Amino acid sequence: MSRTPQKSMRRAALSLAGLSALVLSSCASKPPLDSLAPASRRAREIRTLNRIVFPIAGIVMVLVGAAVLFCVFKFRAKPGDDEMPKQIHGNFKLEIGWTILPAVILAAIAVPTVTTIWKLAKVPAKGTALEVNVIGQQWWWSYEYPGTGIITANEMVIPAGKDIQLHIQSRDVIHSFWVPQLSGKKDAVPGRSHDLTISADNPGYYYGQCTEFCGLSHSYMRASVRVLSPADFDAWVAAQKKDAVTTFAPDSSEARGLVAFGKCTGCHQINGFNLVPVADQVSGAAPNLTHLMSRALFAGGNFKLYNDDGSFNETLVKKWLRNPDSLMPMVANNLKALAGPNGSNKRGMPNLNLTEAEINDIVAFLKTLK
Amino acid sequence: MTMLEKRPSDVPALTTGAGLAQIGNDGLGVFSRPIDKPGWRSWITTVDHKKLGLMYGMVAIFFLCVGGIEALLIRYQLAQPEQKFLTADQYNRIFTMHGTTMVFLVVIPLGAAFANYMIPLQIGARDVAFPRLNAFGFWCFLAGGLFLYSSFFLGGGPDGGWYAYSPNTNVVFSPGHGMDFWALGLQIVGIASLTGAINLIVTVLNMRAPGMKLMKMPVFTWMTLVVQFLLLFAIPVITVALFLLMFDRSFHANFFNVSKGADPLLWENLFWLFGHPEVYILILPAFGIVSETLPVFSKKPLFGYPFVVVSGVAIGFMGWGVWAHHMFTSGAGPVTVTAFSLSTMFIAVPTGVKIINWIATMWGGKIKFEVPMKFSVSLVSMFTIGGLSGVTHSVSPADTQQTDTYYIVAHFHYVLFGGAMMGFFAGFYYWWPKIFGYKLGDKLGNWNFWTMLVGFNLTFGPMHILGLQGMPRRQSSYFKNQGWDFWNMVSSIGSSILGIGILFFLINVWVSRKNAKCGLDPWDARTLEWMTPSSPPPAHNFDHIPEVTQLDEFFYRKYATDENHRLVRVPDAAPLPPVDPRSIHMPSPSYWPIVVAFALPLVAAGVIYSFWISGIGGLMLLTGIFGWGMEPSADPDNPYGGHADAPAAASTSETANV
Repeated sequence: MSRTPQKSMRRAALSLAGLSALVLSSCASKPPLDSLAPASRRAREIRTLNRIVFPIAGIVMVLVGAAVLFCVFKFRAKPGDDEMPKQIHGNFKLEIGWTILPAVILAAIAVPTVTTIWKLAKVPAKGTALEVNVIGQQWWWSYEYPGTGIITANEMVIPAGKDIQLHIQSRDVIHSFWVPQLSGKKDAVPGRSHDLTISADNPGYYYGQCTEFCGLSHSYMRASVRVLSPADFDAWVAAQKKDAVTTFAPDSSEARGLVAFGKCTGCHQINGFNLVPVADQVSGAAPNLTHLMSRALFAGGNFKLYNDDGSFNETLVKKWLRNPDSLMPMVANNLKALAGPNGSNKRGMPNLNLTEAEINDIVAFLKTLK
Repeated sequence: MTMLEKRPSDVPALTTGAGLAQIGNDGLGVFSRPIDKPGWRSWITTVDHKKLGLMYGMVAIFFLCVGGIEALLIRYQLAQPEQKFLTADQYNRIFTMHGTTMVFLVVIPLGAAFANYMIPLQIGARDVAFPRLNAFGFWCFLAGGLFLYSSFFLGGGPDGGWYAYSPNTNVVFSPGHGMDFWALGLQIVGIASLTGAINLIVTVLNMRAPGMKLMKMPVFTWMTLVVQFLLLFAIPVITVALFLLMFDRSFHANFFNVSKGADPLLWENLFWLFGHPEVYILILPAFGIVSETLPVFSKKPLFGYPFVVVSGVAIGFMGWGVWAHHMFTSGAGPVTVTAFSLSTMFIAVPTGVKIINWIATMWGGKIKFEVPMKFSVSLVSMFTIGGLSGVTHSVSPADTQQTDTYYIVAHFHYVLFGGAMMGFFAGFYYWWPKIFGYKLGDKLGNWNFWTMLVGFNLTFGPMHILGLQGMPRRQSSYFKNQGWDFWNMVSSIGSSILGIGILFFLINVWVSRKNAKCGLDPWDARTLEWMTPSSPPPAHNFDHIPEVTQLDEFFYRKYATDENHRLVRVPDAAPLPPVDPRSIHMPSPSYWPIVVAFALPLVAAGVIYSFWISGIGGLMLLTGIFGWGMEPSADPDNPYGGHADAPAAASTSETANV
């Protein structure tokens, strides 16, 4: 062994420093789904609980770990020592003590837990909150604003500083709605409507994800919430209530796109243009596209509709139209094993084998859906 | 409790019962009784609890490797964002089978392996109460496991997750046959657990050595007894759920069809009502094992034996009242959530008692840090981490942030790998000399331990962070901008180290097979299994069934207190006269358990494909049951049950019946 102890110590210290540098750098890029960075009252209530429980758990962990290590090093048998150690069969008082002690600690944790459960279960008084039906289906979220006729997809828009009463539902399998910075999860169970109250302190953009395994493309079922100032939100509502304009100059690309879009109307609705007939999909409908261009994301909320410089992300949208499965796994075409008899039970967007001309025209048309 | 049948020739022929017995024994002509068969036939016909325990262990380790390879595939896929190594569909099937395999085909069977091998030895019995039922259980486990895995060759494995939430598992959403194989395969595997539970409960309650009161039983026997009661009540629940799923998928029964008015939460409740007691089914055997090893290697009795036992029983009871904590986000009201939060918190109390008692056992001891002790100590510390993260879940509002994220994945791997698997590895190293007569090598054992410990923590430690950073479970891939790249890479590197650790174990098993014999009591142990006349023990286990006067009977036959109240070695008692094994009544080998067990996959395959296959299976099943029913458990014409390790015996029937 040529390595001196100092050298190996230094090496250990260096690698430790390297590791901690890596750790720090990894923390630098803030994960958008960080559950420890609350941006609403309810998410903060939950973090407060964490701030009570985590240190207690940490202390217990350190104490137990230290006790184990102490035993292992202190009470090691010495070579040649054959004498038996003192035989202790137990100590009733001590044991009662360490039965009661964890019970007391847990009781202390239970108090804030139970009060928080009830605090979070409180429903805002009728009429004070904005109501949104959050409907999960394979593999995207739709958001309906009852009483307004507004239906949007992938991105929920809410005003800051106001309680939002969500009614979480599902059209097919169980999903779970989760936007960590705003609130904990709530499952979307078909046949049920689960209420969840959320709010957001400030305008901004918050990401989330479906967290109940919901089939093939579960990892691509993302949620997001755009929080607007109350004034911006009112403007958004007014804009969303309008129907799409569907009159174009004859033989313009948009007009041809409108015709070509006929292939999509089996599933997609555009207000003022068509109503989705009986969809042959298990999930029900596909996203309502009336105001597609007002959204930031498309395709299950996975991809940005606009580039960072604000220009329309035409390449990606065309790729999506060419073959949706290339961006996000779909049952519609590629998995014969998953498709039911006669190709029914399609879920997700199929590859319609659109021609490049059709794709160009459809994109031109989609761009009018402000 | 092997039944003592009358010899058919002792009673007049053609009286109904005996006449049928006669047919069962000789007349059914398909198989003659497999007496004294050496080689592979002694294994497929065996009813010896030790051979069955060994086979349970071997098959479970095989499935551990399969499940481990699935885990490595998962980790390879997730090592970097947006990997295309596996498709989403492949990924979903692999994570489904990883969970299913590790729970149903690795950890439960490893518990069964140790229970089968050790319980009769620890209570001073010659075998279990129902030896053929025991064999049947093992073959069901093997048949069910193979049936489950055959799905990969018959159109794709199951894709609904090991928890198989409806309606995602209905035919509409999972149209392949994977989930059919899953439901039916687990049904067959479940039979193994159920028959095993009945068998071991009867064995422990009725066949203990004279003087062994319940509170003088070794803790491993105690914990296993608790586990068998949990299985006895939990398996029927999952059985019902699996039947409902099967009826839904194969016969359009609509138990979980929402459009026909079903509520999918029925499945969730049934599954977790089984699933949570299941967690304790998985961990309590390991708790039992370290409650044996810690005293042995610390040279001290278990600190507070009654507390350790009672806390185990308490966990068994309380385990039934916590299942809804898997469903905190599934829409239950605040009263339910409060109740299950509190019950979940307080199940930590008996668990905590155990941990502190184990530390107190080591405290003041003279610890020999042998490999089994290392695994035991790492159970104590690693399980504690898993237990504490469990307490953070019991805070239900916080759990709404944690559930279905990698924080949960971290938690239950600390419990099941850091707890159960570490315990089983302690058991492997501790009991290996009992089972094979030699120790597993120390050097490779240490490599095995340290790579496993480091790899385990590197794999699952970072998952706590990933989970709190919002990474959901069951994700086939993630995007670059989600901030999870670094820790996923660390975790994947850790999993390779962990895999190498398991590889060291397999190498050690292979290399050690030529190790020198190590004597009957290599660890200075405390319990009856170390009193058998040889290692591995003979088929009849003990020449003389020991009389038990106290806890740790074997230890106190070796040590006594001297006038200074110190424990000193006493000279060995004079050996009892040897016993002619032929004078010992033992159950005989039988073909029927394997015949009946392997009829079940045929019946199941028929439900999936075509009922005529079920017909063949059913015929085989009925034949097997009839043959079994007509066959006496011990062949009256063969002394010592016709075991292959019996000394060459005169076949005079007079010496056989004692």
